[in-house]
Amino acid sequence: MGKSVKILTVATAILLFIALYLIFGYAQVEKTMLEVQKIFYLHVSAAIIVYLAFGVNFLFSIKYLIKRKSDDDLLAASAAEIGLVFCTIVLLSGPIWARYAWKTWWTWEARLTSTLVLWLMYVGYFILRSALTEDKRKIYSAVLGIIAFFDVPIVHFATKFWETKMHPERGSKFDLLPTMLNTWMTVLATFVILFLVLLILQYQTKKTESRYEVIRRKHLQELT
Amino acid sequence: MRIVIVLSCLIVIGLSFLAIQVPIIDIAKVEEAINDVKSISQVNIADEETLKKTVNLIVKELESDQRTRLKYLVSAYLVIWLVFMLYLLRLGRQQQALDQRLTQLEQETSDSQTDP
Repeated sequence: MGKSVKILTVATAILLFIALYLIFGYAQVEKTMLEVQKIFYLHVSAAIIVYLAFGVNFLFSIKYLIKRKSDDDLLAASAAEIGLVFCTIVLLSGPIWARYAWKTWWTWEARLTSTLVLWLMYVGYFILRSALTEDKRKIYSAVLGIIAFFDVPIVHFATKFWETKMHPERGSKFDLLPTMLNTWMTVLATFVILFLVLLILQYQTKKTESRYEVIRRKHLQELT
Repeated sequence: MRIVIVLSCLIVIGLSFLAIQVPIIDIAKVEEAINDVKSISQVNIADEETLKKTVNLIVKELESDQRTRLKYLVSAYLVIWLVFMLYLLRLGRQQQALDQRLTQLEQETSDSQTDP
């Protein structure tokens, strides 16, 4: 682990503590949802990181198809993996909020359904990666990464397209108090840094793995 | 990795404490409020016992509602923590396995170089 990554990791840990303090000790309790509203800070921030991670996957998938550099494929896969983790968080924390707010764990509402579809598509991305040989894997997963990303705008605009009343409509006026907004911004910044740290760590692991495979193959060839 | 696990366990302990914490509604303050209402009220409160019983009933209901809300809050945070922990553990194991494989490969290559 490089020095800059270590510094980033420590900064993330400190920021996580500050964020938790802000959530529980600084942000006011919202009047309608009361304490349950505090799920919002992590749930919405995680959803934004999902967009960011799958966006990185999309860009590096396109770059791979143009330049055919293995590093781009590794970065795309690393971003997708982290995106999938955050998407899992969104899909698991959402129903807990829903149970309290809507009195149901799950409903086939547009945003929920499109998020589940997004999660399933990226699960498919990794199943595809593990099922194919190296040369095919890179091309096919880049193509799937590009196709899967088209669900991100659908998730984002779902409340507008289908006019559901459950999630607040996109662009609806913020009624967060300043303390809540400050807290949310801090949590979001923390998650962005956390995403970067995880991306670097995941990328380094994947790169070392790929180098190991090359060296091992060479060694086996030398032996035979 | 160990530091992360220790720190996150501390967070979990903190969250669990939050879940079982004494509800914020302060009975002493409630008593004070009842006395205030009695002192400024124009209406004569005949049955003080009934009033106290009613207030206590409402307080208990509010406490129970708050406990329910805290349970939802803590379960959401625990689920998020669990997902992160599982992912970090997986990442740690992946790196550990890779290190082992690299050491093994190093040994194999040095063995093959020393063999005549």
